[in-house]
Amino acid sequence: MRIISSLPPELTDLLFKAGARAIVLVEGDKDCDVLRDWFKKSLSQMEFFACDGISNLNKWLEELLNRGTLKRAYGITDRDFRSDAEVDDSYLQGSHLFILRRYALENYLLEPKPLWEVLTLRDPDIKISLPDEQDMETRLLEICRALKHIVAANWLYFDENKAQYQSSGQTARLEYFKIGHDHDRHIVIKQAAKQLKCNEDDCEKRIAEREEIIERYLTNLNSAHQVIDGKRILHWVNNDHFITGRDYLFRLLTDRARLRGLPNDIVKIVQDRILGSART
Amino acid sequence: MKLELRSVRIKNIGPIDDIKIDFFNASGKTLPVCVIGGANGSGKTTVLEVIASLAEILQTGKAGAFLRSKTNGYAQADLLIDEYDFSIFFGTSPSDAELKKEHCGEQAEGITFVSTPLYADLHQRIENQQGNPSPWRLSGTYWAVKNLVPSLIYLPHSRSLEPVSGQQIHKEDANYSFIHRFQTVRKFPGSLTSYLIYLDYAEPEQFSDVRNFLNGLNFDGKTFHVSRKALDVSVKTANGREHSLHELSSGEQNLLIIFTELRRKLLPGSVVLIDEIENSLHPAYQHRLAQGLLALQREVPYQLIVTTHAPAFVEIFGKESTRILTPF
Repeated sequence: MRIISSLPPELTDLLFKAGARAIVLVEGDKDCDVLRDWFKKSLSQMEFFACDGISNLNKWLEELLNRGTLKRAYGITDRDFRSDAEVDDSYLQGSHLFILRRYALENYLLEPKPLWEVLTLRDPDIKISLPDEQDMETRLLEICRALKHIVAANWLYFDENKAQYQSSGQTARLEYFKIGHDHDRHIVIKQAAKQLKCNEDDCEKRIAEREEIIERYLTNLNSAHQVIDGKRILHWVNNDHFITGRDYLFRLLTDRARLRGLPNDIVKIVQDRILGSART
Repeated sequence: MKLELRSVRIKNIGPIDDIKIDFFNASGKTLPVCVIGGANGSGKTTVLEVIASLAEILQTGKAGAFLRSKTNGYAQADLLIDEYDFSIFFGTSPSDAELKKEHCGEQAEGITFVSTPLYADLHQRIENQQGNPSPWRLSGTYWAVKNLVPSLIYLPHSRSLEPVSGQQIHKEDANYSFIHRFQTVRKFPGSLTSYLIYLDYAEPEQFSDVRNFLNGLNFDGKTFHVSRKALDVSVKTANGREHSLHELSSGEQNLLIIFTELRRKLLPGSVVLIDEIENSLHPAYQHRLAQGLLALQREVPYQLIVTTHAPAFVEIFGKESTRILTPF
């Protein structure tokens, strides 16, 4: 006998809207918008819900899986600074939480060719500074390099938060450097030292170590997308080459990705793992 | 007297495998409003039909036709009747079924009827009231009768006003019925058109009250009128156009039917079931309906159980009052 009684409010909301569809939890509203747009033909079989962060995503997914019997709930989360092994593990048989192979969903929007097409359609003069998609790729790698020290500092925060969670279970976390606050390297080191409660020399050393690792990924754009936050790259591209509202560029790139063919990584998660499981 | 539905157990009926829905909150208090949500085909209508069908046992000693056709099924409703726990059941009890000490039910259709003393008392009181003039809210004043048994009002998902005029007009018998099920048929004796035309002729003072109530519903400036010559009810729009009652939009009809049925039939302490409450309603009207039902509940206490696909009702009535039928 299945007892139907009151559920936590967020689950009630999800289940009421989902009906008999598979539930796919994602971290933010933007992720939700992109995936709903890309998979609109499958929205009769699944629905995406934004959880306002990874903590809620983990909590709600666990609740849904523990309370339910059909196990038709899934999560898709940003890679952030997770290792290849952690990412691979998330695709093991029976998994319900999939970690993107790139840093964030935005990284899948930032392929040189579609980005160059969108930018040059909006402003053909861009061809003067960026004659073709190869130059676009070079430019994207330059941006990644310019973001290296901020990404390195955020990585230290990520590890600190993870260690704190593992030792005490506390989810109170060091906040990443906000997008748009792309300070000089020495300011980042100063602020990070304060947050990490270490001296600046020590902090500089730790950041340099991470920068060195990041640099290894910057040999090509594909690997760069694994370590550099696509939201930050998008912000720079928008400020330097597009100017108009960031959301507009985001929407154009979402459309372009849909028209040119969706990223394989995402198609595999949604079609094979989520819809495939929901069908069986 | 007050009826409160505390839970319903349904096994092997329609699309439902085996469920028990609790109509109380974490502290054990009966929900004044419960929203039942779920995918198409998850059994929302079945739940309401089962409740209405079980209630018939109190009145007639037999479950309603809906349950009588489910020979392999089992259904049980647990009620709080004033301070007494009471179960009504139909079918052969599964091993894990727990009936309240006071109970009644049919173990199999027409074969074995089981009951305890409270049933006899209730049944007798319902029988005494059944068919007698009733204190409808808009047909007069409430009776000051302590032992008045409230009723169960069921508004199925099919709700519309059929054209009724001339010889099809019936005298409105405002009599008590323990189970009032709204019907969409031309000759339905309790049709709104019949009711209004009859009142206009026979009870002009009451008609004036009813007309004021209808005009107060605020259908964007529309007003309601009886044409004695045509024996019909007409609606005048804010810009002076005129049309028949049944030509109101389907959403307006839904709103009008729910409000007028409750105004006419609702007794304090009753249970009201509304299937697909959002039928044809724009979100603005969904809010108007929900707020109207809550306002009515403050005036005349009753328990409301609705099924819906519209998130607005979850938002207004509360997530803690929502029950999700779809397995997950």
